[in-house]
Amino acid sequence: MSKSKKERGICELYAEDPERADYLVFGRVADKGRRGFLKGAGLVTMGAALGAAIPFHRNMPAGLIPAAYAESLADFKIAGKNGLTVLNDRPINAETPAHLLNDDITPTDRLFIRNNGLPPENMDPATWTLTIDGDVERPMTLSIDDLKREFEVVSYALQLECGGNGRSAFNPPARGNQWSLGAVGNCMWTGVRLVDVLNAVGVKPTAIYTAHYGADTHLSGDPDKLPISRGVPIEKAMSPYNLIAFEQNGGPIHPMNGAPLRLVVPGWPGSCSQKWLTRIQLRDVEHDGPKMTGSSYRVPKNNVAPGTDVPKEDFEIIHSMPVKSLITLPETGITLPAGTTVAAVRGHAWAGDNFISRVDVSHDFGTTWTETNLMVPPNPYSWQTWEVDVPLPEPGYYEIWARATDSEGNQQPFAINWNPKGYLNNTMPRVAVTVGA
Amino acid sequence: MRFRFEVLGVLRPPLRRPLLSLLVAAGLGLLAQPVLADDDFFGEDWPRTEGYEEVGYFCGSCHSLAIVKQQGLSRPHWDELFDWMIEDQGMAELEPDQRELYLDYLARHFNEDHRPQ
Repeated sequence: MSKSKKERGICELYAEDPERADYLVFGRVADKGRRGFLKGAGLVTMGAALGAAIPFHRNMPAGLIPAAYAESLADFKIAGKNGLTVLNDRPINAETPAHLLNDDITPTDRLFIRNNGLPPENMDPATWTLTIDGDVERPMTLSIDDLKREFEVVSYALQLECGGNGRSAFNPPARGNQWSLGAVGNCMWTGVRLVDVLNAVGVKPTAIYTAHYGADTHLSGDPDKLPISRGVPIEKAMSPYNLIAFEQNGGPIHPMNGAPLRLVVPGWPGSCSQKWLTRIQLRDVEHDGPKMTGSSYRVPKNNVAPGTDVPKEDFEIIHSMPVKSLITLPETGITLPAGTTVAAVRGHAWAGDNFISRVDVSHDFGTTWTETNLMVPPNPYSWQTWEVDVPLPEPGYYEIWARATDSEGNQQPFAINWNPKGYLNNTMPRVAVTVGA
Repeated sequence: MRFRFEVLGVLRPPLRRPLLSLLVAAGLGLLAQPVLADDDFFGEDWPRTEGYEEVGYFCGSCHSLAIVKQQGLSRPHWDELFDWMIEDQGMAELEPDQRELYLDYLARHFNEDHRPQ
């Protein structure tokens, strides 16, 4: 589809009466010199639409359609990312097709993006600061250099997953980004341990919860609103595998993954791992920032039938993510040449705060299962790679299923435990393979 | 931010896609494609039924319409979503007839039987 066709509609709107179109779409009113005078709401709206402020907005002619503004995801590219499926461009949300997640350590250009607001314009590591305050003995504000100098720098492979990964399979559908399977990844993160920093500031006994703040801005552009601010109970915060990270896979953190400083709180919904991190506050109550309350990142305390309306007070906050797996080889939908009798099958498995103890696969719709060769993780909270050769005895259509079991004996289920917001879908992954006749 | 929503709230009567400009463009040979008045601010997967412009410009001024098109929600759940945007996200209160128009459109096309493409 040609770009000109895609943009024709809004072009017509502008062709008819550009200044009126500006006013209607952006609240933009031209000044006397016929330049677009974007102020207040109009400027913020157009900036929000573009995902960035417009430094030369006063020079932008009235009625000029921002070139970046087109309601199509087809041509949308994210610098430094490769092969991701874009679900949403304002704010940016993009996931990775399963077969592109085959690496044990997810390359930076393959890690999913889940933004709640607009990323900050300034991501300069030289001037970035992190403040730790609230219920602490010695509140501190530290630069990234201070963190590197004052604390041990460590690197861990850590799995990060959106709490809503797998939502697209819910029926009735649950609202939000319709993630399929690829809002997960396992990068090598380098930083300092959150627990070391908390010990340095001295957590008061009254502190029971953390509250995380980032430099991203609310979609509305309203500086008084936070797009998201979540936290974790102090017990989770003290885990030695939570990092205040400043490197991703040995290089800079990708701008959409939270450069130059972010939390990585592995095993829990990704939203606990605040991006563009500026502040960690210790609180004497359960944190109540945006997306902590209501039904956000919460599931019903008791299981409910699909489609049930659940009162707000019957929800509880998600803690650890459940046991899950992903098949990264072969790519689903593949047709193998006639005469193929075996397929190399590979993938990863992870289980929130737990380890994976085994992964089994089936090539006959779950009738028989074969235990896979499961790797030991390089460190806790890394996903674990597994592989196995699967027989495909004759031509035809096969489904390869994987089923992980964690160190507590929990297995992936076949069907979704439905919940209103579409979290925690940990059903067995399936790929379709056809052997040619 | 309230100002913006009020501005968008006065989008009616809907801007008419100017047939004249299409004819002129066609006459100039600028349109190789059939003349469909295809408004791709919205995208082809934004159904052209009553209210599509009002809903499309209103929702699309703050966030991508892609997030709308992914949803499959009942009318009451769309209604709740408006409450959430108003109460939690700083959206201005909607006029009752405006809300009805938007809910009608969303429930018509993005109901529980709708699945993302």
